[in-house]
Amino acid sequence: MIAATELQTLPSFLMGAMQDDTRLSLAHAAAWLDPLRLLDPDLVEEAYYDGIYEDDQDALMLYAFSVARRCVPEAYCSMVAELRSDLSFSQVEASFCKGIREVYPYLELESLYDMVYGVPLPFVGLEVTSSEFPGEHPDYAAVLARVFDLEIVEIPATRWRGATSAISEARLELVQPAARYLIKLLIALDRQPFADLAFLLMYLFSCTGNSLLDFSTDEYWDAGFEPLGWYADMLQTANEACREMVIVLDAAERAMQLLSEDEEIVNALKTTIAVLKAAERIEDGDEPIALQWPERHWAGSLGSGASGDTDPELALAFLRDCYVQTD
Amino acid sequence: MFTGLTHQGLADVLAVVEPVELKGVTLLRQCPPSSFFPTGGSTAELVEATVEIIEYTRICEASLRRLQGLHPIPVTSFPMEEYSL
Repeated sequence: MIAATELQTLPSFLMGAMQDDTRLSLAHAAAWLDPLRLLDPDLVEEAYYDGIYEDDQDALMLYAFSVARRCVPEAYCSMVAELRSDLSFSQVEASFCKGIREVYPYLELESLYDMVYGVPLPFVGLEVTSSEFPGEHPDYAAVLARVFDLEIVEIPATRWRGATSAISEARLELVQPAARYLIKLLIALDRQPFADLAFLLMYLFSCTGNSLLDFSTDEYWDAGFEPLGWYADMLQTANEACREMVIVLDAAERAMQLLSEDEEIVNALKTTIAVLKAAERIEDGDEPIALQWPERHWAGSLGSGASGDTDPELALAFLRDCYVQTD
Repeated sequence: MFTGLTHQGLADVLAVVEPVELKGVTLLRQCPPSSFFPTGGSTAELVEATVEIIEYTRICEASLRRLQGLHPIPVTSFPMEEYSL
């Protein structure tokens, strides 16, 4: 028979024995730091999708642990530590979302249920020819009308939809070459506020090259793209795309404010657009068309109207890095 | 180019392999024997230990898979008298 005192000392004895044995020490460390090691990530993911429909919160939590283990070790580590104090579903959810935000600050995940849609991507692209556009974005619609003569017109009813009012697709297509050329000219000026104006036009004409800015949510999913999987490189890419999106949206906002305050700029843009439209065909090898800007010390405009998280210098640096053609 | 390896050569190679010092094992050794898992410690240390052990066990599993894929090599010059029939 073992005495009670011997029983009390037994855990210490066993711990000591485990630490003396290399393999047991390794197993102990793995059980402590990485309890999900033996789970098959593919099976966990499969269980998650079943769990979504059956509202199986255990399956959802397990998937969050599995993704954290694969992509965000910092979050995995703290979630495992918290797991030992009997975490509830909402605590795991909060801990996981917080962990994602800490490493990828531009990604917004609110719920484990939303993981089914892949890495969260906020598509903010403009569908300028949709009938909802003037109501949803009256400021942008006004700029398109003032600068590019893209007025809202009555669109007659077709077999598939009723009569509506929107920017004409045909007119938009006519203006696009001139707009793209104007963007090139603005980029070539290589200073502010032209960088902000270039970003505004890229956003309005969906040619930033960033899917988040060029596609609306409907357009993206209708195009048949797959959701981004929960892998570290995907999270990194999505975070970077979101960061760039913020820079462009802040730049577009500053440019919008500039256009609302500075009639001379609007007139300069209109004049250039008129010249470009009159040129009919603009080829790469053509003589460059100069922009007719008001004579002014433009450096003073830096930072005017800045209201976002990023500043004009960052926008200019981003433009130089990603949009200036080096060849 | 690899042209072959004697069992003595293999033993020599294995003998000079440095033991791996895993941060997680080190932290466990520092833990008082009365508790099964260490408590406290900095988050940075824990993250480092976790990342290391995930990577270490991943490498071990990959090595195991590669070993399992090796073709058997008949050993003719190594006497194993205890298994002789």
